[in-house]
Amino acid sequence: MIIKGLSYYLKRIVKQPSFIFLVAFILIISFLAIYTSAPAPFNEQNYVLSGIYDDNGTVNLSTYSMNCMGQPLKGIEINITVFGKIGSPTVPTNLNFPDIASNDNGYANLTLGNFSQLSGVIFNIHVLSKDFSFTGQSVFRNLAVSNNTYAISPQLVLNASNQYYSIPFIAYFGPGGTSAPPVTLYSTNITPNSFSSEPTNLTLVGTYSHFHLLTVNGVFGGPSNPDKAFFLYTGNNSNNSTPYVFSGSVYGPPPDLANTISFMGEIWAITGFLITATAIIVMETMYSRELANGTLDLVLSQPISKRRLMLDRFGSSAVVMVLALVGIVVFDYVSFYLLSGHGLPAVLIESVFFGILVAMISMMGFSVLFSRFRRYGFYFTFSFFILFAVGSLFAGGAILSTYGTSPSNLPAYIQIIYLLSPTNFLELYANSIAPGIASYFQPNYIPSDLSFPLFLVIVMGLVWAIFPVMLAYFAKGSRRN
Amino acid sequence: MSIEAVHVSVGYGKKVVLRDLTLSIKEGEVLGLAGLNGSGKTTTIKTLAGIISPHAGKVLVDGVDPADAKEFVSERIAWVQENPLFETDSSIFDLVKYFATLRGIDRVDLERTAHYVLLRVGLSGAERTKVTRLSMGMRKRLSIAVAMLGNPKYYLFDEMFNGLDPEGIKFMKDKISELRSSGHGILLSSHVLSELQSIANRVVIIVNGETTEPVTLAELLSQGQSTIRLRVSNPDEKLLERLKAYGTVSVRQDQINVSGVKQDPSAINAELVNAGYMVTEFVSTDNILEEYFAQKTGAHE
Repeated sequence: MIIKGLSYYLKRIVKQPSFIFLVAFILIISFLAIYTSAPAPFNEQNYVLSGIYDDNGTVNLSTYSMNCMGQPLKGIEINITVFGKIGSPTVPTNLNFPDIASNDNGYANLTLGNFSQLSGVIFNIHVLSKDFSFTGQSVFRNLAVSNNTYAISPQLVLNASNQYYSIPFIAYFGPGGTSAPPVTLYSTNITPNSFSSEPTNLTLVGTYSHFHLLTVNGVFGGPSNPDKAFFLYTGNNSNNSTPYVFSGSVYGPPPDLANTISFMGEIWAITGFLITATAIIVMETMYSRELANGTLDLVLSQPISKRRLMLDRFGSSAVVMVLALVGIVVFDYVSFYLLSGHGLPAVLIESVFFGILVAMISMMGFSVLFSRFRRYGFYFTFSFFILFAVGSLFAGGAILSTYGTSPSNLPAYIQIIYLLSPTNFLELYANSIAPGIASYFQPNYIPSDLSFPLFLVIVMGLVWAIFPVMLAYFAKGSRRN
Repeated sequence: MSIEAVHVSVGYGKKVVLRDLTLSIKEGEVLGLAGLNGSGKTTTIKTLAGIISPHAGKVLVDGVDPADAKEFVSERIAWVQENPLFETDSSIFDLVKYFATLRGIDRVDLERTAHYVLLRVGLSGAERTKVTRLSMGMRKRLSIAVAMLGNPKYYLFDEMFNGLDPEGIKFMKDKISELRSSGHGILLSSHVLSELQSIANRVVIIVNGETTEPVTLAELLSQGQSTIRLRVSNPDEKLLERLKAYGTVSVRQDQINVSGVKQDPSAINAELVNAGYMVTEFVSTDNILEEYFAQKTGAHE
């Protein structure tokens, strides 16, 4: 066996009261955190986006970006509801984005055919993913200079209870220049998929001579509310200015999970602190303290070198702590899944797991290294760990707040310090290694936060994990060999 | 083949504990090691076992320096601690198996070997008992069981008689005799000089960090180092003069001690009675080692 006495060490560690207490404590606070923060399960959502068109019949659905928080999309469908009188083209009523299935970002630019005035479309976007944020931008510009009519609709969202609600419809519109004629906004109820006639029962909403911010709140669609469309007349824009009729960002409702994940990140920061402290205590009782108080003397009188004994105990402790960490992550994942119906994002797990893993192993190594200071070794190790942890929170935050939110914004020499500094260790891993690993396992993943080359981060991780115990291994001057 | 320590000097930091340790432990003999508290007996054992490296001098185990081949040396030496510092939450069986692993015993033989050594020290049936529940006597037996793993050539017993009841002492003495008979070399460090005297072939004493020349029991006997303690209900001035003929006399209250006695104590007793003295107490301590120890260490009275 590679580790002499592994089964004995494992039994010994898992029976340690401090180990049992701290791991149980971590599991309890994790569960309580998950219980109080996990979002209720919800179903796949429909997002209804405004249909917009100009009198040339060009309909723009531009650049909708979806970030699915590391969760693969199952797919996205866009159903198109057409109202009003159709012109010549054949209008597709169902668009699919199969490529988005395993991607975090989807883009779409559509051009539909010609419509007559007062016709329009509503895009009914059905996202087959449970967790994502949804941003998009509908830009409607380059308008014709003649008398034009534009149709715009509020953004509607179908919630989990299958009820429509509206997000405040925000639009800037109006003529681009002071000499441009005013614009007029009408609304009308519409009948989906009715192609025979144009809407006639228009209601004047308002006339605007300059840029205007319009917010429309209300309930549209659903069983008791007819869908509603808005029509905008720009009038005769003869001075060739470019009316900036509509430019609005459309944001899907932020998923509850995003806040929960942020909260879980904080919980895992505490978990990381506690489990690393547990690892130090385990290593202390398994090796450093026994070495200091002489209880290892009998073991050292056996045919085993001090170095080998050190590595055996270090290895055994590392095995137990890694298993404990895996157990905690699995526990958190399963708890989260059972309570919310969501899995925790792989990126988050990877960043937490690898960050804590390396910090844990590293601190265990420091515990062995500082055992040279006998009964003071534990205090040295713990002080170093506190510096490490607090430094991660404050020094890293200070650097990033000074130079930007990503290490890649830092000057080169700061980057080097950042990379080498233990104070930014966990953050470094969260920012660097996790997206890298995610991109390895998820080929379509776009690692936007990858700040350092992955190999460099891995090398640094190995150095941090192995360096202290190697120092202890090769250290000279010990009274015991 | 033997363990040899030649002019060994050992210390902790600046504090020198052993200045000139010189001794040898041969196969098939028990070398007694005596000394005052803090004289360095345990340090001697740790040094011989290769746990502490000497500052000066040389330790050779079957001709090999522990500093050169620690594992070779450790395979040949077993240290039996005074108060074995085992992991108290472990069961006896787990603990013995662990040490058997360290001794390089094959995985398939671990359990059989553990059962065997526990049987030899009378702990068979207590395998699942946790160390924390063991009495001092049982703990020392466990220490011997651990020491027997791998059948080492040399045993270093550290204060084995401390804290034992008479039955425990007898067990230890029998076990040590058994090991000696089977050809093992033994170092027996002990405060209990009477027990040391009864079992050791040779004795060395540590005085001020240096070892005395080893002496055998026969040599001590020939030096006539026994002591008589007596009480007489009708002492007179002639009594002390008469006793001075047998050795050095000292008086404490009504008790008279005569050390360095060469004659047969029973003959002395008979002579005093015949002289008309009412001897109410007559004890021949016959502890020649104690006397020798007192002489060497200056610990007399």
